[in-house]
Amino acid sequence: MSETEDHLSPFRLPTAGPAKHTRETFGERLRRRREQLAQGETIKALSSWQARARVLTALVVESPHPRASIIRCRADEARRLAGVEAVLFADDIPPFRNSLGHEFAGEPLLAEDEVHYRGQPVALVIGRDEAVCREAAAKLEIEYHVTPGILSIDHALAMVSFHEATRVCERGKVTPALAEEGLRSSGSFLIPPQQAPLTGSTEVRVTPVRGGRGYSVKARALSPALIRTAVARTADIPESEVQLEPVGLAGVTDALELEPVRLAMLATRAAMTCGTAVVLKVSSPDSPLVRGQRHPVKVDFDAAHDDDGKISALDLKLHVDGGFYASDSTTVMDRAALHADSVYGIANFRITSQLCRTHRITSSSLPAEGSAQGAWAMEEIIRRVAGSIGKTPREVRETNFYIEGAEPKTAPYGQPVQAASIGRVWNQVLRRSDYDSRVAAIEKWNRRNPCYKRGIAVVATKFGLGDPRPERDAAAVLVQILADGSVLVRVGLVDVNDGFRGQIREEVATRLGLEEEAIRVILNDFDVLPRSTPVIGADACGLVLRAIADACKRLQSRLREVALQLFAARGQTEIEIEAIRFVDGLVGPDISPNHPLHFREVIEGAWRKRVNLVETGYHRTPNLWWDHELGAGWPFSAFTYAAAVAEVQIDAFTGEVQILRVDFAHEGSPSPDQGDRDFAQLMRAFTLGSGWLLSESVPYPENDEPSACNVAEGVPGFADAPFQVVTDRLRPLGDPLALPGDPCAEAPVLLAGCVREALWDALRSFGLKPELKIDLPLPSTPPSVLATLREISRQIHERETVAKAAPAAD
Amino acid sequence: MQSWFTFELDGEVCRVERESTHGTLASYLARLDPCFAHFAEHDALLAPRLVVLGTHEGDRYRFRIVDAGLMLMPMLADRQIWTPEGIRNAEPEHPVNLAFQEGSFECSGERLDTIIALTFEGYYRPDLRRQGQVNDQYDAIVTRTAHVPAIREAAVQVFASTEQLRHEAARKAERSGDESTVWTGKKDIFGDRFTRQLFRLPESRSLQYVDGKKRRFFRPETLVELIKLNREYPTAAFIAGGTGLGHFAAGDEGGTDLISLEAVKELNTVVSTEDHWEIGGAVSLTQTAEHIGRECLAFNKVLRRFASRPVRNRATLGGYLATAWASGQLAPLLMALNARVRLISADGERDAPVSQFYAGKGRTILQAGEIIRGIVIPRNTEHALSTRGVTSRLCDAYTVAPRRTGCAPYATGGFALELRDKRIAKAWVAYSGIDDSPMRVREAEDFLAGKNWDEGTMIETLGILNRSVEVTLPGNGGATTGYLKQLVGTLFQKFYHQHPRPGSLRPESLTATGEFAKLEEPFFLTPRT
Repeated sequence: MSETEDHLSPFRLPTAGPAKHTRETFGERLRRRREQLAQGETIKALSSWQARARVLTALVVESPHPRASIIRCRADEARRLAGVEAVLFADDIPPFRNSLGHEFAGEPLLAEDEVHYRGQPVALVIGRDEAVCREAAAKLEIEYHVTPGILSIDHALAMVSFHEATRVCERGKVTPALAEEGLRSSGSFLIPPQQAPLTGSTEVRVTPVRGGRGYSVKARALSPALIRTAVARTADIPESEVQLEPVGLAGVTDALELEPVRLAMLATRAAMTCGTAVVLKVSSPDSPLVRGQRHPVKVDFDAAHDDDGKISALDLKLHVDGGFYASDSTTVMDRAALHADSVYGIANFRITSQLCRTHRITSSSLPAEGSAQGAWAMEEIIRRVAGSIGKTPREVRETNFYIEGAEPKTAPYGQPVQAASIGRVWNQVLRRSDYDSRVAAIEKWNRRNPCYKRGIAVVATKFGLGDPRPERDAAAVLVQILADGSVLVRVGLVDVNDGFRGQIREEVATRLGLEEEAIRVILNDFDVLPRSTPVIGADACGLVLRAIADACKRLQSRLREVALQLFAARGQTEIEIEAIRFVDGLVGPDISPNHPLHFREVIEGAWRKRVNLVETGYHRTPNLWWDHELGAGWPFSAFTYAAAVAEVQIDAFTGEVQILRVDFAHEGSPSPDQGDRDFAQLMRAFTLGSGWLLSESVPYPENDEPSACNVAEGVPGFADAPFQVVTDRLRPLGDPLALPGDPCAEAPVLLAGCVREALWDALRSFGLKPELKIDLPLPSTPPSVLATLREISRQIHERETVAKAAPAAD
Repeated sequence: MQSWFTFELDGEVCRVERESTHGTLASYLARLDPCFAHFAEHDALLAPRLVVLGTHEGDRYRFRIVDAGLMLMPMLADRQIWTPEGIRNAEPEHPVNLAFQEGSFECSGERLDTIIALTFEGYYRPDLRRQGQVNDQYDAIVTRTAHVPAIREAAVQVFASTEQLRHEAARKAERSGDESTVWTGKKDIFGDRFTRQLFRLPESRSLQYVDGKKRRFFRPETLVELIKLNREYPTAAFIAGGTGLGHFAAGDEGGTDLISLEAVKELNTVVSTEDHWEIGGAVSLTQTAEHIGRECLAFNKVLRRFASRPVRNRATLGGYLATAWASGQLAPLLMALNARVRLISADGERDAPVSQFYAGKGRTILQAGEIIRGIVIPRNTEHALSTRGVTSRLCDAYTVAPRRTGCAPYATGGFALELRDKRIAKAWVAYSGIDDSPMRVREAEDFLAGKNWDEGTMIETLGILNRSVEVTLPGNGGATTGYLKQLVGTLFQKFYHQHPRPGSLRPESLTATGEFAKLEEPFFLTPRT
């Protein structure tokens, strides 16, 4: 503990400090106390019940500027305010402790001399309640010298402001192929961010426990294990001394991954300072510290193609806004690059990705982060190529698909692609949606109706399950069989209440031949199972199911031996151990009503024989690797393929868009009984994607002054859902052991791209022609759609005027 | 003055003592039991905490879904509340509980509670009869995790079962000649635990309640009492539905006394005569729609895009006007309907057209001590039109918003034309969301008068609208002033395209929606005998 900190801490728990790590003798402790008293230190200790009962509030004082130098920080007046316990600046934190750790790329806990994004924590005010803290925060004298910040990708590119060297992934020879004669298409476009409008409380509570030797943390977070590590590091205690209190989440969009970690570290610092429980609050519900945002991506491309739209070479550049401290932005950038080929086998393909350093905060805890940007970039390119040669996007898509038996057979980084699956979902969705006849019907309808126009489009996607960081692709479970034959399954996975509990129950029931009612699943168990599997960006469901299979296999093996002995006791000695099966609560080689052994009997036997009925299951996806320098690897455990057809309608009077019908053909989870869950997951992910593309406006690029924008107003409501949804759930092809557990969790975000393509199709009926230079901004809100319609009319009118004037001039 | 009151919570009488007059039901429930802990995290838009309120409205008994975060505690005196938890426990085999027992409708039980509460109200709604109304019933659901197709499917099954029940009850009632009581919901056809208790509910009685901090809450029964109270407590604030008092919902800090308008009989009645409706100032928007919606289709249409069902159940027409919401959806329609506002105070009564009720940014002509007694909306029956020498009246309104429901709109346009054959006798052109208060465009109205209603007139009017309407309000949700200016013209164009002929009272369908959504399909088809 630094001297400064001691001065600020009116209360101190008896055992706080480095003493807890060393075994001091009584004499040493006595000497240390005498020294402390001799130095005039007064230590007021709180007993643990006092520490729990006395809850202080800590308020984060955030930077109002995206970029500034901190000239002066004074808190004299604030500290004098009644009810204020402490005010912390960066200087008040012990040396080498003012850091958020490597996950945050060296970001300090509290800003030191400079602030690098709006909302960066500058000070912590700890007081009796929130009102006192806010009053004290208003009295802080923090003087900034504001300098212009880099707030957009374009600005970063102009200033050559990057995080690290460019990453390149190349297949074939792009430069010579581009130099060959042929048609060329090039362009640039931006995919803006999406914000996570959270509804639940964003406050973080840290309570000292076990006499201050440990901390209990309550935070709404997607990765509680990261919080445990962060709190332990901040408090300099073993991770085993940190308890995580479970918080109920409503879906994967109900919490963030890294933001709560930062807040938990700040809250721990506040709790250490005051020795009491602390509830940490941010300046406002719209604070960037609690508002996660996807990474904006700017795409530049240069494609060489023929008259049929077959792309022979594509040079794709992805510029990702990584904020100032690129927390996990490099992974997001990699995911974008790894999905940029989508379902298209382009022979000469170079993906150059660059992480721009801007004065913003970035986050990556929304589903399909990175992958959606990569896949949508490719769809945009395909449509532009189609436009340039006067073909329909569908034709150009089909021309460029990966083809079974033909080169290329792998993604640009080397992982094999199942071309047969692409063809299967594509044909299925076209057949199911009756695509061709609907296209004809829409054309007819659009000719008759000047005010509302419809559009239709079909898109296929390939989604990689897993994380380019292989250390995240592992799961552990604990399966316990109790004395009555009921089963307790503990899973180190945060519970997002999306029905996964039921799938686990089904898996265990199938493996052990039990009724699902006999199985209880405990999620959120991070004490028994310290490894927590991330729920976003990894095939958490598949990993957990395989870990369960692993545990059940070993339990079965032990129970078979018990069963064999029980059969032998009955005189049935000719039974082979491998033949013993577990079905419908019965155990035996021949599951018939004549000679069954009940599962319960076997368990009773196992208890009597003291057989271990507790088993840990563990699974890690083998052979995952990704080398970003080589631009090669096998980063995903599997690919899942899907296709969708969307039909939309544009109101020409207002620019409002309605999704009329969506047809999906997708690969389902391994269990045939999880159809309902798959459908629900599919709709959730699709809603997320369509909201991003159609309605959820986030101010980007930001201005120097924060702009007010209620993002929650753009989240699609009940009435915005498609009127008709048709799904075809297909059994995945390929190795059953590599099948994805939950292919519908994130992949359908990418499928929402078909809504935007359908929108473009509808714009054709308003007179959009390839020769017009039209941009439809993202998200396509009513104002932007109406502005696009107006621009189409203006350009058509302009061309007509020029065309009329030309003969006159002749 | 009493320092306690009682209300029924999940079928049990609940006595409340010294509870803050400004505390909400949501915060009360959150303290009451851990099973209601999630009520503490209330967000009117993204996380409404819905409960069902049993009401006795004149001769009708109704279940109304309401947001517990917008219900002040004393409003509940002598009322009946069912929480989703109570609904589940009271009758586990209730069709609503059975429909949502299994399946991935939503993530987390709290959000499923919202669905259960909304379905519960729908189950007992006598006017919920067509599939197009499902969106209207569930528009309080704004999440990224709702499985909308599954909810729609389950809802259709539940509402079909209740329709079947109603048909059977009506057939039986034919013999006794009181069939209409079944269709209007005046008769208990369900006979379950919920309706038995609902039909025992007394009418709202007067209440004088004082909380622990000596703040008073009055619920007078008559207009005379109300005016007396207002004179006696001039600083007290009037409160009707309470949906606009979000700042009170924050906690205990409000210091004012409150006078509730909910039990004042004169303010809670709808008077229907041959040539007009008079809607009491404290009549909820839902009730208003139930009374006039069948005849005034535009009102129903605009209301479908107004906030959400729980808000419409509590928000009142008087309260809406008094808040002078610049971009509110109803004002342009009320202007187009030629509605008038009746005001009353101790000094007497006066009235004004809705367009003159607004007095600039956030202000109205309401003076201290004055309340909105009612809103008079002329009816356009054949008789009423002929007395005015008019052959037809076209009226419609259009709202544009970032999403269908539950958000502040960009702009709304309300239009009406009174025609003598093809010639326009009088026109109403009104907008909200454009200026700092809802406005009529007199120049365009004057231009239209005397013209034939055809495309040429419409195009000429667009020029006038473009010239005379100035956008002064910064648009919300990314709407630029250019967009709002564009809407001024395009909404009027839409009105023309939907009502191109003098006889086209019902708007012509221009969209393809009907091909995909079974909007007009009833939940239950009467079997042919």
